[in-house]
Amino acid sequence: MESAADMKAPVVEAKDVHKNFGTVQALAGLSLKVMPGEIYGLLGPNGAGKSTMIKIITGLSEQSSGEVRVLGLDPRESPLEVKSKIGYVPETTMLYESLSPRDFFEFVVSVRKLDKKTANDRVSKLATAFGLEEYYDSPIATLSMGTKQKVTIIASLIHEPPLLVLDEPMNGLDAKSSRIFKDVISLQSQRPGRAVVFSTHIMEVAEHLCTRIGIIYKGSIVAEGSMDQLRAGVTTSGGGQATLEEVFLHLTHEEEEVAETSRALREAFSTPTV
Amino acid sequence: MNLREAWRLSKTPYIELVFRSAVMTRGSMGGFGFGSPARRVKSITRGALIGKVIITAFIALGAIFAFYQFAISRTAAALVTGVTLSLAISLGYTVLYSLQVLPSFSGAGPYALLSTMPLGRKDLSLLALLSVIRTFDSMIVAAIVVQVTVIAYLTFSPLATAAMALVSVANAVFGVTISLGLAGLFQRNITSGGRGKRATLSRFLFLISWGLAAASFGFVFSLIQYIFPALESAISGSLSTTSIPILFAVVHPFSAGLALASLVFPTLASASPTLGLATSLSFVAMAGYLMLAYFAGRKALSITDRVSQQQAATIVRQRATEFILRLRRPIPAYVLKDTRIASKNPSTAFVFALPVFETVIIAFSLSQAEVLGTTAILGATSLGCFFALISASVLLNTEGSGLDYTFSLPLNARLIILAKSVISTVAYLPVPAAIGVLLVFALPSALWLVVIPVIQILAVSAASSAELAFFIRSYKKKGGSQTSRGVQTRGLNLMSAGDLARLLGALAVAGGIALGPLGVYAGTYFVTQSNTLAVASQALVALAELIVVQLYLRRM
Repeated sequence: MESAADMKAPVVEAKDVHKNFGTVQALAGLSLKVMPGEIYGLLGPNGAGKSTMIKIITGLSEQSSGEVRVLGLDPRESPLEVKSKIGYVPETTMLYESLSPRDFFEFVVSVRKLDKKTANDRVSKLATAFGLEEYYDSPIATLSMGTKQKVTIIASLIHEPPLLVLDEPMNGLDAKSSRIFKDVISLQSQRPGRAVVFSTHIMEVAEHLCTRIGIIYKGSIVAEGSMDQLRAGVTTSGGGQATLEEVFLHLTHEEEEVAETSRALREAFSTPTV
Repeated sequence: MNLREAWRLSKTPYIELVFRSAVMTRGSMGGFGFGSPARRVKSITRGALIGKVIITAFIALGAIFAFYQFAISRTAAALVTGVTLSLAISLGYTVLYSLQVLPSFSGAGPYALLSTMPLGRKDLSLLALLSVIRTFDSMIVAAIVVQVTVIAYLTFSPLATAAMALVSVANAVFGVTISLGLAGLFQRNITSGGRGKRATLSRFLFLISWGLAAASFGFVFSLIQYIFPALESAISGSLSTTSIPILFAVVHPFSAGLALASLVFPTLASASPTLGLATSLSFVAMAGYLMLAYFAGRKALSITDRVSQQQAATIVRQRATEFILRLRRPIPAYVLKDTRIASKNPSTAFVFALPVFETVIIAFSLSQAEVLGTTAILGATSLGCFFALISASVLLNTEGSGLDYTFSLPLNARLIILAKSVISTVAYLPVPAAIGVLLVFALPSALWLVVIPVIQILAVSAASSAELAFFIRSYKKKGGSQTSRGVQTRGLNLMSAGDLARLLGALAVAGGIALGPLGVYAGTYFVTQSNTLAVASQALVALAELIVVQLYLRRM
């Protein structure tokens, strides 16, 4: 049972987080706050620092400086506690390829020390919902990218974590599974004290699913707010409402670059080839 | 596409083949050190090149040293030994190397991109074949050149040299075809699922055969040292009373050795009726093996052609009717996970053959001992400990591509180390069992000696845990600003990097821990002449080691 204080405390809070890989600065003073009930979308171009931030939240990596609290815990000091409370879908589905989904779930559920009946009940429902019957006993190596992603998603949901951290979760999912997963994300955010943080490149997903979006550029958040708040700062050439894509390109200063690239491409394709 | 261009282009699928196999058998990008992905790819390809150079040197030097005895004594027996040993070395090490480099071949992944390009079937097939040849090129060339040159130089016989050339080429073809076949077997094992009795039995049989094959090739020199005395005595001595030469005459590469020796020593066949029959048979067998090599070559071509056309192993799926999971406590779950993965990984599967192997070797060494007493038991137990510690280091490779996911689970390094240590300790258990059985039959009055290897179970458990812990902790400095937990993560991440210096350091520490109680036993007995006191001291030290290591793991 969550206390009233827990309901008001941020699920994730990052303050002035820096992360350096040698001379490369991946995060440059990133700050963000995710409150219970929120679906927080991290949007940014490739290499902006989204996955780095997600790995720090999940305790898989450590910041060079700054402070991070997840469900009130410091992932550096209490990585196991943090990991037991989050469900994580990594950017690339790197699983134990020679295990079957059944073997893999047995391993994950055993390590998470879940109750047998509850675990079997959840796995059964999730596997059926994602249409995993045909692949349940096949080695993961033989599954398609989308099916592997389903396996990772189910593994992240089995223990009903208070926080779901998803790094490009829609990669390879078919339409039906995408829809189911969006419903799962919505349901997760509606339960008391719970939240979802995810990064995505798919603007449509972020636009329709996220309650708040943080746009990350060169290692820090350059804009943050609901879709309407983000739109407010951007005027389109047609005078209409800006799409998230337009907001994104505007805030990451990539509008001109895109226009330039399009011009170059048009020229390249208009040149007759031998 | 001409051959020169195809050879140049085949470098790309070859690198992809090496890279994918390394990721399949040793883990994801995390397993190859720090730095950018490009640096990691370079590190993998450089590692494969170094491996190739080392194996090539082994084959070349092995092929030369195989003829050392013949260079001195110039006897028929020494020539048979030389030819056989050099062929066995080149065949064994070629296949051994392929276990590391070819696993991704049969999945056809390295050729997936090529198949989308405007290339005809013949070109695709040629590129696949050349990429496989690139895997073995230096080994094949070194083996053929050295074997033929040495025979020409030592025998001055054009006929023997020509025969050696034919046999060397055939041997190389066998090596490549066996390697491709094993890669296919590995792929089928990976892609076959299900929990039915038949599927489980088939995977178990694969496990044992693959493991024994890998272990046999690894210990090829040890095996040969037991085989050759029988061969040499058969040829030089009691030929008429033994059927051993007949057996040797029909088995490759002994048949080639015998045939070549009879070309260089024409009187060999007339030495006795048995040898006459054996040499005749060896020519028939050699001709048969040359023909077999022709078919093996065709088989290799058909395999590469099939794979280049993206015809990977067939996947058979069974629709699950229930989703029931069998839950365990975290350590047994980790042990089971490691066991399942290790059984499907060519670089780790031989862990399961080790118990069989160590039982055979210990039984053999004890049966050869002049006096079956304390010293022999101490020696055999040390050997068993050594095997267990080897298996602990091999288990570092079981994480594979799932390592990244494991780190997202609430697991600490202690649990992982303990789980791997359990497997190593279980791998040691046949040692006391084998010693006990041997004592029951050979020296029942000294059955109490079995207590020594039984007590060592504690020491092996402590030593294997310490080995893994020491290896992981050795990355502390490289982890830089990481906290202790972070360092452990780094260490586990790098487990698969095969850092030899660190691994040898960890093995040295573990060796000290494992052998310590045996040393204490010997020292106490030497001073007090009391077996009871010696055993008690050994038990105390082993127990103390286990406690200290467990306390150390808790602080990690």
